[in-house]
Amino acid sequence: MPMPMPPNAFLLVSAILFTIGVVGVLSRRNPLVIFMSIELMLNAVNLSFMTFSSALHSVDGWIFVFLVLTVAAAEVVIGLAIIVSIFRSRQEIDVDDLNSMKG
Amino acid sequence: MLAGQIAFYVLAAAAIGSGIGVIAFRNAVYSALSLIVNLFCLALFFLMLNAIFLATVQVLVYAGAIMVLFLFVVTMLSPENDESLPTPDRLGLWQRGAAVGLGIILAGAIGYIVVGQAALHPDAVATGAQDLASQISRNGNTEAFGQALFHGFLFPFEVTSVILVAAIVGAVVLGRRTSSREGE
Amino acid sequence: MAFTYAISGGDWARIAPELALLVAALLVMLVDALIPARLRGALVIIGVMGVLAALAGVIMLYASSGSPSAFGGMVTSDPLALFATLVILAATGLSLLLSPGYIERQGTRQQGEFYALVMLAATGMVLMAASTNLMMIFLGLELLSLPLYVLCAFAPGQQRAQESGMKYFLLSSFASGFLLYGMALIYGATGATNLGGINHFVATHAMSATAGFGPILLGGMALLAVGLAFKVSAIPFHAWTPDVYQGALTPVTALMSVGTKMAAFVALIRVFDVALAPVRADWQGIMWALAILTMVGGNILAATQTNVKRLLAYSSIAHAGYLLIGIALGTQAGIAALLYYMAAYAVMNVGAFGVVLALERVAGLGTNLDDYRGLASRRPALAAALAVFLFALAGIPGTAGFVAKYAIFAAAVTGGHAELTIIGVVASMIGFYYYLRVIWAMYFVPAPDMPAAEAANANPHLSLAGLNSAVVTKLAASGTPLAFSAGLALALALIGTLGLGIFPAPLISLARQAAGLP
Repeated sequence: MPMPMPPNAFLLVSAILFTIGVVGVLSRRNPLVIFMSIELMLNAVNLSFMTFSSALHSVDGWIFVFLVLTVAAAEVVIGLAIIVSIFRSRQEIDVDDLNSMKG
Repeated sequence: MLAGQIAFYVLAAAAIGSGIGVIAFRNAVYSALSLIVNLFCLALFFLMLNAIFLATVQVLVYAGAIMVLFLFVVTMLSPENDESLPTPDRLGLWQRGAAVGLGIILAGAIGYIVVGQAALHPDAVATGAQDLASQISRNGNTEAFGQALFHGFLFPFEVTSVILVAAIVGAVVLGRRTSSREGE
Repeated sequence: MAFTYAISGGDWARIAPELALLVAALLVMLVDALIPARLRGALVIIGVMGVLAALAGVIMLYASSGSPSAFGGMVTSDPLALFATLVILAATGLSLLLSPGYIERQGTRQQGEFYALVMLAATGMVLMAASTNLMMIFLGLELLSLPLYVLCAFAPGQQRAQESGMKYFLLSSFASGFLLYGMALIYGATGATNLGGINHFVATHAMSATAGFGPILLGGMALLAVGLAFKVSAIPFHAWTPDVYQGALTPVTALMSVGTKMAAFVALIRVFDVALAPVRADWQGIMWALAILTMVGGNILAATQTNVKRLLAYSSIAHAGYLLIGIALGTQAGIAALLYYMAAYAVMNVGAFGVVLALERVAGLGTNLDDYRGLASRRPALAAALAVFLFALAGIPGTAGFVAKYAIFAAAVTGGHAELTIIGVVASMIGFYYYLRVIWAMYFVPAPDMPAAEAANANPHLSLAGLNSAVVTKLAASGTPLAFSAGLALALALIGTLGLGIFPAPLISLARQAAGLP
């Protein structure tokens, strides 16, 4: 199946999703939502890799997507473990409340 | 071709809408559900780009396993812990404004880069292109991916196994520490 | 090639240092499961042996001939990778030696996992330094980051450590997103993830920012620079550094401040100074501005700190600024100076953190500047050692720091960027102030009247730490004895700091070889 749209269209969707992720990281305070926004950024990047891979007829992008998927799984494990362990000892999690350190 | 274009626009709208949902919902459970929709849309994009195997992996691993873990944690950590609760929010407003402003600048810059220009250099079409095309025509799409993964890219693949070991050890450390302290 | 490459035994030999570190990490975990809990402190021996085995691997690779590239251009064992490996191994070895005694004092029960994670992080650092493919740079970066996230959240019962771990995790993943997007755009612009392929494409197409397809490459470079600048904690991407360095266990801080920087700087060298050298005009300005901002900002922010661990964190930001000069110059002399600087920085910074560690009591107490008052009369040897390390960080002649600063500033002048030298020298002057402030407190300010134990009890953090106050009082009153291995590490760091300052020639020639100079 040929690409239904020129690669630029896919790249633009990817750029918009990446930006949404960045805005989410900067504007939300719940660590879980921040983390989800980061996942959104990674997926936007995956879409870019995939588009370039198809447009360039090169296999590197596919492999890169595969690696990012694997690494993201590992990151999720660690990240959620950290958030849960903090929650266990604090019973509440908001980035702005992490105040025992300043400046 | 027209059907493909319509499918693209529908998917793009769904992906962007669910992406906005991730960051806009006040309840983290809804954010997680939006992210699942978003990841599913991306899997369909992958299909559209002929990456059948990765689309499957995306659904199984990402939309499936990872997001179930996310939902599990979100619901475990007090689902009512949303930001609709009144919080002393002095910085909040301008911080959000600044974030959205920065986001618009970033989207503009990247959009200009990827759309306003002739995006791909014809010579950048890799020297391996013929190789890939012949692989795909001979063996099919997924097989070509597998051939590449287990030949030229075997080493990065092996390294991911080490990364997963590190993640497992880390999760054990973080998980066990809290339980051992509770036992005191 | 991508579909037919078969890995040979020779490929594995090229990554002998990484394999040695990985095997040591796995052995630590295996032995940890088999021995009784009271013997777990001895696991550090396996770690140190792993570092020594990796060192043997480096020497073997220096002696070997043939093409350094392995796994079809994924990784390399060229002199640059080997030099960086040496620096990372030095930091890892010293950090491991500093750990026994200290991590038990902090109440860590899971020593086996601690050492295993340190070794895994070191594996990632060495791998990242050896990478010649964007994929491998990404994987190496993640392999070094994931264990560090956990290690930062490691200190038991300490909210501050957990908070710093989470902050580091979120910000670092955020930066990884930028890094990846940069890699994707570079791949899209050049059609290769292999650094050799990128260089070939850029060199043969004389790309520039204004020519049709240049903007994608330009955007990719900018995003990649942001991602890596975060990892070397360059201003304005430094916000995580002080909190994370202060909250983490001190051996982890020492490893992180040197190892991560070394790995990320090698990636910067390989991507910008080598692969993207033909389009230097497009990225040089970013690096130039980052270098200036980081040098000046790091030193000014450091001057206002009252906690020694935070002060060293800001000083590490400032040093990243001097190191960025080497990247911004883009000359081989600049790279050689950067590498020598990094080696000098490894011994003097790990040494300084080692003294901080020796004086640190539970839960991060005893790291305030006030706690260092009158140290020279209480612990003269430690005070003298810290003075030497701080003099070296400030760049006093006779120490490694002076030679390193001289080399990098000289390279800036010969590379046609005298303004970087002038700004760097002025920034170093500010540096003198805060390093000397610590030395002044140690030698010329009498110890506070209030006994340390009372001070500790008065501190509200202790209730946070949830520790038995009787134990705290005892530890605070007796002062903490220096473990043998920590003493050894400090002695080695001291020898390194003075040795590299007085006999710099052998290491300089090694660094020049790594940079490709005769």
